[in-house]
Amino acid sequence: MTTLDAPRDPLLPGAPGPQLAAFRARAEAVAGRPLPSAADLHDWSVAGYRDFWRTFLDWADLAWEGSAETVSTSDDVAGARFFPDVRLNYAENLLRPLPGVDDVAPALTSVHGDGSAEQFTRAELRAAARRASRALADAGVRAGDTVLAVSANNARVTVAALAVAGLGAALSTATPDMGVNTLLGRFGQVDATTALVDRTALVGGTVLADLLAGLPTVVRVLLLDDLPLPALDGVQVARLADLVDAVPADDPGPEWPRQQFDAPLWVLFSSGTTGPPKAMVHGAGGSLLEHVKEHRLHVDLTPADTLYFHTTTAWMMWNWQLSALSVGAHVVLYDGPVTGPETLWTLAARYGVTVLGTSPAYLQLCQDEGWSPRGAVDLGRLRTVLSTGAVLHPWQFEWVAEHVGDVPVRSISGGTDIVGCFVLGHPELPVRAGWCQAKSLGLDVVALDDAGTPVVGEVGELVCRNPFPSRPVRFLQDPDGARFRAAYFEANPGAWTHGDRIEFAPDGSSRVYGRSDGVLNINGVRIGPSEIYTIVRTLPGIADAIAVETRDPATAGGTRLALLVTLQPGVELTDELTWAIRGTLRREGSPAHVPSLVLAVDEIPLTHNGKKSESAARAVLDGVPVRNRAALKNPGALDGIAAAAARAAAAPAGAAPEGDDVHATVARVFAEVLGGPVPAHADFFDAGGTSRQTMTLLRRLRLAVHRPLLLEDFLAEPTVDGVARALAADRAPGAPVELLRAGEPGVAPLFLVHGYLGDVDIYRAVVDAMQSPAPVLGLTSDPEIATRDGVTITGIATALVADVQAAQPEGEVRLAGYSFGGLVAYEMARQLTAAGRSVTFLGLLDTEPPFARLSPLSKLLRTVAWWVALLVPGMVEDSVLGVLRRRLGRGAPPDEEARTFAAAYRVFNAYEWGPYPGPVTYFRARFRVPVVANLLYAWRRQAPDLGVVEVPGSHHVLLSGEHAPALAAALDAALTAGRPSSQPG
Amino acid sequence: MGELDRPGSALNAGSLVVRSLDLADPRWDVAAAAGCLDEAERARAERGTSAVRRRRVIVRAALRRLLGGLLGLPPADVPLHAERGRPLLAGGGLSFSCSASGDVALLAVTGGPAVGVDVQHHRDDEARDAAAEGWLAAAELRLLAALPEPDRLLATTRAWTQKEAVLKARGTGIERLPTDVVTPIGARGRVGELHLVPVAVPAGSVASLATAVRPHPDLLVPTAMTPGGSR
Repeated sequence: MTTLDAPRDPLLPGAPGPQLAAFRARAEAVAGRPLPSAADLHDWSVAGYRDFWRTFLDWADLAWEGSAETVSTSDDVAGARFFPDVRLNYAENLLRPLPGVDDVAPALTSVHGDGSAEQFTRAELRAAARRASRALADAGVRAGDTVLAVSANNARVTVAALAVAGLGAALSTATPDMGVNTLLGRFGQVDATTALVDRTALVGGTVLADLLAGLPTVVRVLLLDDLPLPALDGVQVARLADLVDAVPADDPGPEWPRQQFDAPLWVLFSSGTTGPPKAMVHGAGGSLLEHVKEHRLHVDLTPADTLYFHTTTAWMMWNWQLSALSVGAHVVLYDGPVTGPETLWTLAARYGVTVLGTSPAYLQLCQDEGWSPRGAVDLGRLRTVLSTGAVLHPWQFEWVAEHVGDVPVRSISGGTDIVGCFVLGHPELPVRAGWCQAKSLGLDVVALDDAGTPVVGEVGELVCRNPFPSRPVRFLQDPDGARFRAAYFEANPGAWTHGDRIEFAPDGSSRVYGRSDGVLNINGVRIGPSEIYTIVRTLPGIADAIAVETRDPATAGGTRLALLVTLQPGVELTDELTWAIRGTLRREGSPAHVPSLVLAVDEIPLTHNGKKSESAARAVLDGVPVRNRAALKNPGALDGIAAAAARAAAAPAGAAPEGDDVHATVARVFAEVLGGPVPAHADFFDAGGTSRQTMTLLRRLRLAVHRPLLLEDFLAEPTVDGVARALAADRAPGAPVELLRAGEPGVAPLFLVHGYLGDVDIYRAVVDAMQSPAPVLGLTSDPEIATRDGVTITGIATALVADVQAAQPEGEVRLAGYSFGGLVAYEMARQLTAAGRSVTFLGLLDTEPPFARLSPLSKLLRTVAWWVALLVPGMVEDSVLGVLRRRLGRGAPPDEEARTFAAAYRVFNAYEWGPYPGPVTYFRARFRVPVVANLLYAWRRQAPDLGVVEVPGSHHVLLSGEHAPALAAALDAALTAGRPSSQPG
Repeated sequence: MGELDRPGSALNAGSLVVRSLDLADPRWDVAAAAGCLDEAERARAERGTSAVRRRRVIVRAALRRLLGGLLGLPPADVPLHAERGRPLLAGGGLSFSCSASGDVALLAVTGGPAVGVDVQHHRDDEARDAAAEGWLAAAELRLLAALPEPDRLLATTRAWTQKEAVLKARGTGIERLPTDVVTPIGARGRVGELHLVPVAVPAGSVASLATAVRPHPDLLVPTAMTPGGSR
């Protein structure tokens, strides 16, 4: 029997066993029975969640006052409030002196991209935060205010955040590279009085003014940078550092009031698939209690630990890692870019990080790049790797074991909505590859099947069935709480429904499968199935449909979209209807809406209450047992799905013909359309074909040959021979200029320069969305151009300049290119100008400057920097695999693609650029790592007349269907205006 | 005809002449008609199948006859030349357009303003497939989807004729998918500067005309040109 006597000091470094063991002793005393296993302890923590939280509050020895008698005001998950009589201060709890913690040991280290760092001891950090509190109070910030912060993840914003929290004001943070519209979409809901802004990474000279123009409640701007003070009308402007300097040296700072448990601490944002981001207010008590619980019981974080969690200020993991100060751990921050697989491991080695937090995307990048930290850096202090943000696949656990070392990899998952985790690590349990170890203590999380019954061993809807302290206090712009209730409590009454799909094993470990109902996650793109249903139902012949994300047999861990349709009586799912479905979804939706697999089924599986059961359909397609048959009204539907899937697998729809088969296929299609066979050399129109029939012919050819044929290619030689040649042709020589979009005659065309694979298909979505009267022409090259011996950007440009000169011998020239193509376009503009042509428009679509002077190793590492831009968790909803697949997925073997990509990168970086005095418009991806501000500077040294336009998305998804309309609009505007006025950036 | 200013001259700028031909009429004398064609026209006609040859000869001869009447020239002397398969008239200030589908051919001439005409034999199956063929814009597909099926199919064919008519009036013809010519999904309306009006043709076909001057009647009823007729 464990007793209360002699509890060890849980904060004492070196004490045997995890802190969880000490907590268990306390819990057993309260429970009056042993709780020997992890499951026992969790069961107890949820069976009497009040006992758990009360016990934890006492055990954690936090600084609070008042009464903890009332733990929760109600058992209603939606309405319960925790500890209404407890008063505390978040910053006080993070910064107070702790027994057993050295007040002069490093507490905060802020590392910058250039390798420099600032370090604060615990005492210094406390003093800095108190002085900053005084400065903020003197400037007019009061308890109950809301303060905004726009900053990278560094000490300045962290000290300011602690100062704000100390005063009892709420803080809402974002990154400077989000762009005005995104920032306003968030902060526009907040009604803040004060804005803390670091301008060093803001793009464009008017961003701050534009931002403030949209935030009328802001009366003061306190700058976190050292740049000259701007002139801003109507607001008080000062540097926070100047205000702090003015605080007398002996001023201990203002009182930090202990506030109600639910006093607003943070305003965080969760972007849904539609509408403005949800602005959620999190309370001081709930956040602190949840974080301390996770840090101490699940991560076993102690004062001996150094934590680095790779995050931005725009993600809840930033708030989570900040709270690690409360256990006395040393927190490392980094505001530089991730420039390659080595970045975070090197950082961890240099600062003796013991707990490293990262993402599946970053780990995948390391694996894909073949970079092994184990041999390269000393990770001797590292004891745990945490991963969150997406599903961590089993092979990634194995990669860490092999290439990092014998440290547990803890996959954790939760959300902004609870500013914490539902499932996470456990210091007493073994790690099973691919699984999250345990349920969060005190949270009664289970998976529900379609019938609302808890299930184990199958995938269900993640819900939490009891109240917990770290739920949002409320949403903003939600006066009656309707949005809040609708977000979490409508799907399963009496439970918090989080919107994730999860499978629990009997031991409480779990695997998260991405978003539930609502949202499909296809290669990182979120799609609501209802969007698909709405579009598909407009097609004649379709009765109903169900969209399912299923395993992609072609890629490990990948998924694809399958669409099961029921047809109206008498309608058959022909190839043509399939194409109509795909074409309509492509047009009305996006490329991500286009299903990889379309199956006709007799019935759609429905639950007893008439809800479509995606999970059952998915299980059938994935070939795994269907566990919820009993929950279905029409379980027979599943047999129909299985049969349809089997039929489809047995007869893979139309393998694409090759060679002579192409000719025969083309001849057959000509004969079908014209009503009889025609000689191979016969002109389609001579044979009686009409222009209307041309449309039919093109579609049938596409269906039969699985390759697109452009109308203009057909018209160039409208014969069986000609079409077969066009379809078989490697576009390399002969037809370097591809008409992408008809414009109006007399308008100077826009030439788009091919990507590193030599093609212009990457621009299709953007070109489709453009409205400009300018014709758009694509300049193409050999798909393997980048791998040719001796190829250079200059050489590629010279060849394409000749194409432009031939295609458009006179008049103004307009050029644009994405990434690789942008650099070629830049060199083309130089050459065309030198040849006396007037280049009136040069658009660089997120094109980084080349780094010809970097060392070979740096170049290699630099190779991956672009990929890494999307690895900052929370910045983009995408994965490296998804991007690679979408970007590179053209049927060529991945190895070859990777080889071409690597070659292209070498070519790119070897470019020895020169000055270009003409106008340049730089279309800059809004989501990116902060390094790019400096890269623009590099561009401007060569091209001083450079204007910047911000476009949504990250580098990799800039051209995707989702972001194409915005980029197209920006291109249209720039083409119309000539170019935007030059903005300093 | 009031359309004619006086014999031997071009039309008034605002005038519009529309003629129809019944290609099925057995009285067409193809051999005789071919006599007024120039060598290139005859060669082009000869390349086609017999039906294509017959159509090309009859329609081109009729065009020469019509233009000749307006210009005061014998049909064979009308200075037509072809550019990328499209007939053009040197001088004369006339704009014109031809179309044929099934047994119906149409000719349209103005005294200058751009004109395009197109007739299309309607087939339900063809119209049904149109949505998958990529030449209808999203806005058009939405409007079409709102129509009951028989109307939708006819409206689809009409949209095709309007697109063709617009592209002919613009002088480009169908050189690429005409998705960016967004038609009103209705018999009348405008695409850019061009007015669209329906042309009365026998049941089973649909025809539209696009012109820069708004035609007076809401429905153009072409005068039939017949074999051996005076015009």
